[in-house]
Order: sequence, then structure tokens, then C-alpha cells
Amino acid sequence: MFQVMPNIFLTRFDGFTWLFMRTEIHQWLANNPEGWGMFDAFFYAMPLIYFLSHNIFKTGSTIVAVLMLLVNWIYVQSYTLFPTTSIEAHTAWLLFPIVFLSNPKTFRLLIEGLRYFFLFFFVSAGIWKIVNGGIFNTDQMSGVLLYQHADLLSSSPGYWQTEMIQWIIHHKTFGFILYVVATLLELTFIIGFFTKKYDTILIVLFIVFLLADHLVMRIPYYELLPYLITLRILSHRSDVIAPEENMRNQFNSQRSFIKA
Amino acid sequence: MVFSPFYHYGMYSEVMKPQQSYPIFGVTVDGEELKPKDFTPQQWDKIIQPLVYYSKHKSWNAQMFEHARKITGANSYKLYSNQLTKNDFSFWYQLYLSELLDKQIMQVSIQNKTYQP
Repeated sequence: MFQVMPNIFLTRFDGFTWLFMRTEIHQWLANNPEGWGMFDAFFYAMPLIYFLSHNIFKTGSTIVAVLMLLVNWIYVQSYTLFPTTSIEAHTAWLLFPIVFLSNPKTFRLLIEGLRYFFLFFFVSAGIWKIVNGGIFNTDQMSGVLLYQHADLLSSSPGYWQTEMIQWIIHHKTFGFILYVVATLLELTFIIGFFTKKYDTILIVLFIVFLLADHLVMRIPYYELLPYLITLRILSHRSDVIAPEENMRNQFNSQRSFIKA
Repeated sequence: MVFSPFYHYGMYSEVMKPQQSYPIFGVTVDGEELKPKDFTPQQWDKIIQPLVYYSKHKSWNAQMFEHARKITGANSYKLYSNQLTKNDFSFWYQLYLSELLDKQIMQVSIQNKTYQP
């Protein structure tokens, strides 16, 4: 918040944001350096406070988790009203604190919920490209690149990225294939709704998507990286997911073995 | 309309044909024009986005307030609009660029330009 130096905002087309704006927090933040400092302090301190309450003091962690969820929502809702990247790229900040509200029984369920949210993000992006017709327009990628990089193309001729983008714009067939491949990549995530068998492939595709977005579109979507945890890395490891539950299962199986 | 945290992930899904021209901003700091190649995408967004916001905040926020009024019964336009003048914004933008570029700035000029491919 301190780097953004809130001054001018655009109201989002979002029902939740309209209600949030009634709190006047965004107005209070405008030109208020003390407010920015306070927001940043809370936002960055909450994970540490949670760690201390959960691992060191072993008390009050649920209350801290609720506070962290609240702080993150207020922070991200405010932050993204001012000139920054869009709120769509910040959903991990909004949603991940929910996981810390869980107990061993609900932890897995909540991680799975985040996993489906992440899959929805990709699949819906692919579906929109079909519904809105972008995928059927052979000039699409040229049009997108010209719109996205007009200032780069205008003021930075000769730069390697400008040259690369110019090349794609002029080779319309290649550009169109790139757009189709990106759409197919997004649609591939539908597999994740039915099986976790291909999660490793989805992880690779996700990283390819992030790098390509940076390289070709100059859009940094790295705030979505935490969702990788919800793919194969955690969802298949019961010892990481729910250690208490895992210990209980081991104890039960040992007891059954002794009885037998 | 969307409702946090469920958003519309349809960026660049609409049909986009190449246009004859594109409006862009030029930013000159103490006589030197800033160029995107000298900045990371994040830094360049920070330079340009405030100008984009300023250029459309009045009409956009008024439009959003109309929607908010109809759907949620919002009645205070002040909450959904910026209370700042052009001078306020210019003063802030110079200070902001000075922090971003980490140097003292004497003069900033903004140009509305057109890019013709």
C-alpha cells in the first residue's frame, strides 16, 4: 500500500466491493501515509502472528486465522481499487487464510475447495474465449498484442521484446495458433475436475502459462502461484495434509494389527 | 456484475481486430521521455495506470454508481467517486513518480499521443 500511495480509485463492477465501499475505508486511505503504514503492518504481520499463536504459544490460532482472513479481505479490496493489478490476480490472498480456520477434518476439504476454484479460473477463461468469439477470429492475437503493447511498440523500437511482438503481429497465422494453444491450455484444466492423475501436467502447464504471460503479454500473474499447493503437491500427501488424522489412522491400523 | 471472490475471467476473450490507431500516454520527466523497455511490466503499469484511471474516473465511477444504486440501493455518490482536482492529481503524480524512480523530479509532462501501427 505504501508503494501504491493511494490517491485515485476506480469503482469495480462488483457487488461485494459496492457494499465494502460503504465503509469509506478506501476514502480514508487516500493520501493517508499513516493509514498505508498501518495497513501494510497488519497485512504482513498476520502470517507471523498466526505462526506464533499456532506453533509457539499454541493458543488462539483460530481467532488469529479469522483476523487474518478479515485483514486480507479489507487489504485486497482496498488495494486493488487504486492503480495496481486487477483483483482477479489476488484471489490467493483472499482465499488462502480460510485454510487456517480448519481442523484436521476440514483441512483437506478446504484445500480441495481451493483446488476447484483454481481449476474454475482456468476453465472459465477458456470457455469465455469460445463464448465471446475470440477463438474464431484469425486476427485476434494481432489485435490483442497491438492493444496491449501500443506504448511499447510506439516508444521502444529495436528492443528485443518489441521485435518479438512485432513479429507475432505480422505473422497472423502464428499469432492465431498461439491464441488457440493458450485457449486449449486453459481448457485442459477441466481434467482436474475428474481426476488428480494428471496434476503434474497441470502444474507444468500453469508454469508455462505464467512465463508465457510475462514474456508475450507482459502481464505478471505470479500472485496466483500459491494455488500450486492445491495441486498434486499437497492433495496427494496425507502426511502433509492432516498430520493428526494420519497419526490417528496409523494408530488405528496398529491397534487392528495387534488385535488380529 | 460479479461478486467477490467470483470474477469474470474473460480478459481478451472478445473479438479484437487490429485498429488504425491506439491512444497512448507519453510521460516526460525533466525533459526525458520514459520508455517501457527501461522498466519491468510491473513498474510500467505503476507509471501508466494512474493516468488511465485519471482519464476515465469521472465517467466510469458515475456509471458504476448508477449500477450500485439500482442493485444495492447505494445513495451516496461521494463514496464511489474521487474528490480531487486536476491540480491535486498532478501534484500527487509528480510525488509518486519521484518515489517510483527514486529521484527528485522538477517537472513532469503528460502527452496524449496516438500509435499508428
